Amino acid sequence: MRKIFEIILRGILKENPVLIMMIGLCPFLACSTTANDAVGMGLAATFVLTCSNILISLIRRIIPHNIRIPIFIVVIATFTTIVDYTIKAYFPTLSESLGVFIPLIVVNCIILARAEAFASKNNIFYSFVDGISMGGGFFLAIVILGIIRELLGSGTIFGSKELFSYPAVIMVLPPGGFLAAGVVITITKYIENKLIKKTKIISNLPSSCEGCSLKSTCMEFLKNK
Amino acid sequence: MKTLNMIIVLFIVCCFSAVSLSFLYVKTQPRIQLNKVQKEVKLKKQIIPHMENFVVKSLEKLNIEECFDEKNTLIGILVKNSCKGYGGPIEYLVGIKPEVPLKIIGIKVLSHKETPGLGANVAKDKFLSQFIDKVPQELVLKKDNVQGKIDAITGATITSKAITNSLQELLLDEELNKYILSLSKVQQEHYSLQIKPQRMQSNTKKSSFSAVLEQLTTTYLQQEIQPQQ
Repeated sequence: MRKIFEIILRGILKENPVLIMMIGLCPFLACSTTANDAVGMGLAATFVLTCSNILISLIRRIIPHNIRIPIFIVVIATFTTIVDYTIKAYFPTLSESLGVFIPLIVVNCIILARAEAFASKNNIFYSFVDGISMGGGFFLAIVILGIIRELLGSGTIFGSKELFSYPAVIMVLPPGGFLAAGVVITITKYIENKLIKKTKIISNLPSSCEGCSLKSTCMEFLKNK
Repeated sequence: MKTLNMIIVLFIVCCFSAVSLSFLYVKTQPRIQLNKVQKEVKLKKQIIPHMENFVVKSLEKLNIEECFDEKNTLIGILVKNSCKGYGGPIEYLVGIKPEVPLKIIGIKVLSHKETPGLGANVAKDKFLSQFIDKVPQELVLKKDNVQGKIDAITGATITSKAITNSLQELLLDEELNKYILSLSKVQQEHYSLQIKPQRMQSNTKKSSFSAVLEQLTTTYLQQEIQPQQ
């Protein structure tokens, strides 16, 4: 039970894929121009991440080590296409707002990173929880950025009426995305530093280990030593 | 032995993926097509609300649909056209009033591949409603021409320009104009008297377009002014 809690906390806060580990920045910046798009991308990515985590964890014992990456990619691409077809056929209204992003999920490196770092080493249930929590972390990050950019860039929230006139258009354009992402990442880093000071985790690792996806593994290794 | 194992596993995984995907494709494709057709019918109803039945006719370049209401009077002509946007083709459906000069009754975007948040606003009614009831030469972006009456989408100039130009070209299309003229015979004499000499003089297609445009505007303006006097 404790491990499940730990996995969830790690996915959403401690090792948030976008804000702390800095992977999957491409969809994070590209699909956060409006809050609705961000919600769609977050949900679709979470679904594919969870499914691919489960399947890869299921077949992890028969995958030869040398060709694990191609197999991960095939599995992820298959799931993405399944989601694409299913939504198009049975949920046409959802597909209108979400359809553009689904093919983009294949190149979302969070999914490949989780398959490589977690699902290929843990059992099915933990992989499932990890998929949901990592997807949740991505979802939260992208929705926060989407709300900020939509509010400042077009003056609306979730496609509502314009709250004020003359919004700053730059926030919808790519430069605004980088600006907003920088601010959000800075705030998360600040919060993270505060939290770490409170719990007083002493690590002998150099500062360059901050944000590395294998940091927790290294720390555990040092602790056991 | 190790290599063989690798080959077999990769082969099995790929086979599994291919089989499941092809099965899903066969299962879902009819539904996807059906959804597409249903969406188109819904949009057609939105463009011309009183439409009861329609007749498909094909001209040389365009395929058009004549729409009739309950009393079998022609109320509009639907044209499905596409133009090259920023990210790919923009397919749209446009309803045109069956009289010269051509005016737009309504327009809906069927599919596009524009940037979400910027160019994707092309499908919103806020932008598209600007085209309704405008003379062809008003269909220019405001910032390009003083006569233009179309506000571009913020941050998506190429998209706005593409669809505006494409609509203007469609409204000035000789074939479509001729066809619609043949439908409304009252104005035919008026039109041929004014336009034909100009067309003989012009060499290139573009100049003939602009000549038609000028003539159309002058006749249109005269019609506008005369009742007021």
